[in-house]
Formats: sequence, C-alpha cells, structure tokens
Amino acid sequence: MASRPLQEPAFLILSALAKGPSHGYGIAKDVEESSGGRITLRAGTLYGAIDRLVTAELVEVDHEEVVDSRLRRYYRLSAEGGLRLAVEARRVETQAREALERLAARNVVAPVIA
Amino acid sequence: MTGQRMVVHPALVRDYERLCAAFPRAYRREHEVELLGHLVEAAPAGATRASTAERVDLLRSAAREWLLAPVGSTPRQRRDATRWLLVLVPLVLVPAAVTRLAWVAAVIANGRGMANILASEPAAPAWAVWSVAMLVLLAGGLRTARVLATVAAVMGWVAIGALCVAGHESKAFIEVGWVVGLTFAAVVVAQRAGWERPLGSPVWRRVGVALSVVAAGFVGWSAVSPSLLTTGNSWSVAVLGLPRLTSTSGVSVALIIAALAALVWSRSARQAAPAMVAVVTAVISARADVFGDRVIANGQVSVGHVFAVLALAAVTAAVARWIVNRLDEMALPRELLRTSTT
Repeated sequence: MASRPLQEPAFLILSALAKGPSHGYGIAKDVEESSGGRITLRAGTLYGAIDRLVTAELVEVDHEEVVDSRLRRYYRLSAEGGLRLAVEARRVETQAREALERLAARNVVAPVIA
Repeated sequence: MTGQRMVVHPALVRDYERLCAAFPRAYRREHEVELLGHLVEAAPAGATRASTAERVDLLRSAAREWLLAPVGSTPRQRRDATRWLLVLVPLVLVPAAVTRLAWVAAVIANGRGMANILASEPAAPAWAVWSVAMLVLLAGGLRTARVLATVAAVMGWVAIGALCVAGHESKAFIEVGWVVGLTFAAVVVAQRAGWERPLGSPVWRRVGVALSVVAAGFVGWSAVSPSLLTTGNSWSVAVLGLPRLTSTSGVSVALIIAALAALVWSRSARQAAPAMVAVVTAVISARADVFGDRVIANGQVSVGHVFAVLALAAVTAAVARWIVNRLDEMALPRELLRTSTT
C-alpha cells in the first residue's frame, strides 16, 4: 500500500530524531535550523505534533531525565518511523533531482543554499 | 546544557503555569512538566511574560485538546479510541443513514422533487455525503474521507439551524443527536487521517464493504417499494417484518447499557466510551422524554431543548471520560507490576 506524503513539520521532527533521541526543545531547535528559520514549532504545536506521531507509532518515548529541576522527556524514532522517514526522504530526493535535471536542461541553475 | 543553570524570572514561570492550566487535566498530567521545562528553556533572557505568539500557540493548542478530550488526552488513549470509534460510530450511524436515504429513494421514486425532500428531511444531503465519506474511507481514501465527513457534519449543523429558524424545533430536537454522531464521525476520521499511515484492518474493511452492500440493497429496495411512504412504518417493520423496537424501550435501553458496560470493561475499548456515551445520550434523550412534560407530544419544544440535549451529551461525555481516566489510573500499577516482573 503506497504511503501518503508526510506533512513538512512531521518530516522535520522525524528527521531531527534520526540523529538520535532528543527532547522537545532539542527537536524544536533542530527543526528551526534545518528549515533555515522558516519553520518555528512552538511548544503547544510541537507537543501536539509529537503526540500525533506517537499515536501513529512513528515515535516512541525513550527516557526521561531531570536537568536543572526541569523534566526532559526524550523521544526516539521507532522502527516504523525510521522506515517511513527513509521512504519519504527518497521520494523527496527523487522528485528534487528530477526537477533540478529538468531545470539544468533549460540552463536554469539553482542557487546554492548556505 | 546539562549542569548549566538558567536564571528565570518567577513571574515568567507563573505566566507559563497559568497558560498550561488551560489544558485538560489528563493532558497536563502527561505533558505539563515537560511543557513548562521547554517553555522556560526557550524563553529569551530577561523575559518576564510569555510572548503573544506563545500565548496564541498555547491557547490554540489547549482549545484543540479540549475539543479532542472525548477521544482521549494521551497518545495511547487517542490511538485506542480512534481504532474503536472508526468502527463503532459508523455502526451506530448506519441505521439512521439507511432509514433516511431509503425514505429519500422512495420519495424520488414516487416522483416528488428535491424541495419536498429538503422540506421534510433537511439533513438528507448530510447523510448522503456521510455515506459517500464512509465508502471512500473503506476504499482507503483517508484524506478525502476526512473532508467529506467534515462537510457532512457541517451540513448536519446547518440543517439543525435551518429547522430551528423555520420553527421546526421538534424535528431539530429529534435530529440533533444524529448530528452529534456525524460530528464525532468527522473528528475520528480526521484523527485517523492525522496518523500519516494508510488504513490496515482488512477484516474490518471487508465487513464494512459487506454492510455497505446490504445498506445499499435496502435503499434500492425502498426505491422500488415506495409503498413504504404510505404505510407509515419504517422499512425494518414493513420490509423485514421486525417488531417495532424504539430506542427508549426497556430492551433497547438494557442492550445499550450492556454494550457501554462491555466497552468500559476492556482497557483499549473503554477509550471509545465517552464519545459513544455522548452520541447515545444525544440520540436517546430527545426520545426518552428526559426533559419531562412530554415536550414533543405537547408541541412545547423550543431551541432551549435543542441546546439542553447538547449540554446533556457534553456532561455525560465528561463524566464518562472522568470514569475512564480513573479506571486507567487504577490499572496503571498492575500494568507496571506486570511489565517489571516479565
């Protein structure tokens, strides 16, 4: 059964967790950096998105720790989540490569994003 | 960041705590400490109040959590509730849909026009759209089904509003329960669509297809047997010869209570109980003379009664959610003990 494209915030959250288990604040910082500041996931929105991913069993709770009297709950990518992210990343990569090849054929050069 | 102390203004923490208090209790039990830690860590140095963007984000998220509270406040609750409600809500709504669409089919076959249909059954288009939504869902089109189910719910509420405005409060009083069911159907399909995963459960989908074929058969039968319009009996009585069984008869009430008790007994199925209680309460309360004085028989229904049905459904759902959350809490130590000994 073909999987549906992931929404961008979900894709970026899964991508952030692909580096390893992370807490909510760490995920939000990673999403902001990897989107070049374009996407800012505030706390309410972020934990709603994480809950949806946990409900869908794409993300799991890894462990909890107390740092400076503040609870940090770490999340990790589930096996299913890793697979889903890989499939989605391949799909996006294939589409992007095709678009760049077509543009190159028209002598349109894509700018390099720093 | 580990070991590095951050100085945070106490007023900022209190502001964040007030904003977090807007979330449902079950959600706060799961996330509040984590949420506060995140907010404090992300706060700019020297901040004493939450920013406008943070307030809007938290209050909007809290509103969303309250709307979804009948289907649970934690991922496990929502997952279990969504799985069960995706089957149970359509099972409850299908008889109402078939009855109304069968009537529409008989009316059309009898040569009467759409104006006649809409005047007598303004929610008929909503039921038609909902039926299409369920067929699309069975075919695996989650996002399309979400849109159609939402449209059906909105059309249902528009029909209720139109009935009230036109002075047909009695009809609105009777139908509002089913529109509550349509609304929960839309919420559940939207929840499931948000999982970003295709539908599984081939067994349930085959059952759904079989039920759809049977339902379509009854609707078709009504089109070729328009005498149903003149007998005054429902198709289940006229066509199948079943005894008349109203939703408020002793047998029906006993069956409904037994079904709800069975739901609450199972740890995963009980998450669906609050939503089912809301739908059942909304459907039955108008028929069971809950508001006394035989308001329908005496033609004394007002818009207030329609709102009273909704309020009663909300209260019973909240009570059911409270009961389910307490049962979950009582089951947690046993579950922890079981997992620690394995």
